Amino acid sequence: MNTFANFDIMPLGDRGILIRWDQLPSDALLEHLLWQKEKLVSALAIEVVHTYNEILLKESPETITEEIIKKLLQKEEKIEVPQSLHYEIPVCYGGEYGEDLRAFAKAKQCTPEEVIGLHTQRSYRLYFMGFLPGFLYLEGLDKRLHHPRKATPSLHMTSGSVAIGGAQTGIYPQESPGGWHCIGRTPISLFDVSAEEPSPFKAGDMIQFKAIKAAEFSDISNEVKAATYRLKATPIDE
Amino acid sequence: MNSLQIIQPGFYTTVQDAGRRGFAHLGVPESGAMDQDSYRRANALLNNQPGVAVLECTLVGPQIRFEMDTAFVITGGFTQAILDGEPVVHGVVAFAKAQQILKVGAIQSATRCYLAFAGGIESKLVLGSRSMYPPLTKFRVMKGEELPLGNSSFGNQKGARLKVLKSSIKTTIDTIREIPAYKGPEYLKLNKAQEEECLKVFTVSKHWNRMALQLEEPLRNDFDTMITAPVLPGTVQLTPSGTLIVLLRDCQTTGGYPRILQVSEAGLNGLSRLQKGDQFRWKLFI
Repeated sequence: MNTFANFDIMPLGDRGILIRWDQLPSDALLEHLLWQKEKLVSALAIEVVHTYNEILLKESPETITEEIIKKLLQKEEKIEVPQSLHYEIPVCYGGEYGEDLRAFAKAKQCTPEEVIGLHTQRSYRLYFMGFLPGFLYLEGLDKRLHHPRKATPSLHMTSGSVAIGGAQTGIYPQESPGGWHCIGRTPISLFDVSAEEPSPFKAGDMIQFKAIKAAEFSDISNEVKAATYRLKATPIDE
Repeated sequence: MNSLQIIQPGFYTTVQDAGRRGFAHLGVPESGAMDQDSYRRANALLNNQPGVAVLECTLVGPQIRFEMDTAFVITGGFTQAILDGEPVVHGVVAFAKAQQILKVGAIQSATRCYLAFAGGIESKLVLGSRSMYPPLTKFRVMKGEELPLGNSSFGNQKGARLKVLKSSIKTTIDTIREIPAYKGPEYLKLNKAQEEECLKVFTVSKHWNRMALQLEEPLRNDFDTMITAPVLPGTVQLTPSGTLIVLLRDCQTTGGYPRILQVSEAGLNGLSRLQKGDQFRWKLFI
């Protein structure tokens, strides 16, 4: 009946406890993990992170027993999970903003406009954050845009670079080396250490890219600098 | 307000504390002093609050000028430290007069040493921690930089002073040491030959920093790739080429390689003292 009833609990050395669901990533599993996470955080008041099919409790296995965790996970408790939102992220594609767009389109045997069309058409589910502060693991890239990473990573991916690597699309929150193909750039800030909530997003949210022109990019950049820019967000009807 | 000035930053000197907690879900690393043992000892010797920030010096220490009379101590790797011509004894609280200059030299017997000050360094808090981790903060302390220090009553009330602990770090390096580690979540997938390979001697390669250290000796690896999963400082990853990467305090929060071992907290402190060419064995907990 409950498709997620089976899980394994194991220590991660002396500083963590892992809970693993032996399942492929799915929206249903994500929602289940977010619910489980919420229960664990509210009952134990500890740091908890999740990925596609695992939850990590950042706590010594000596302080929290497997029994306690099992009981909490099996508890059929209605608990308020923060409402997921649908965000629109402005992206300026091609040119100096997405220097790999032309080559990418050529490799996929289509036009840059078709790449932009496919990339902006869908909403992507934010599964979790990792890799770099504020980096979003997004699911749902159109199969027609899947493309192997570069053989030699670029040394400098500009902060805000919107890129495709393998079956994933993402945004580089800070300047860093990167092996993904840069097709555009967003003027918004993905991670602001001075903000109370450094990332505007949370796991479960939906992200959709919206193509903008260079003029709009510079307008939004100015608004971001002046801290007057507000991302467009709408609640998702479940 | 008391402060100190960086005259020369040394090879790689950063401000570090107990680390950044509560932001892993946003992809923010823990950071913090690599050798938490030596870090805590330094603060304890000065009667500092646990968790206050110190300088972590790598390979060669900095030169600093004290603004006011300040108590300080050096722990971790042994180093030749000179305060206006006078040698400073490792692991023993010393007192600097205003405007005196401390020169910390090359670090021997370990990779890093810790320079702690009464009251602690009070640089800007970023997400609850002063630990330097780019891009959240700058890379390291810079020439000419002023670092504010907190208030401390240390030295005014001698009775509060702890008795001096002898540093546990030996002056000579063992050629082969043991680093305690637990079996990781993917250890079970290792075959007998790979398990045996885990017990051999490993050498730290030239690729080591605060994020990770890579080991010279590869393991045979025929694992499938796995989907991205949580990792912690101390997670030992088996990469497709067979190279083992040991994640350290500045590591990412997630990774896509099999996690074959998980170094213990004590092991992490031990590893932080190693550098290129140093050898060790894993001491596996059953």
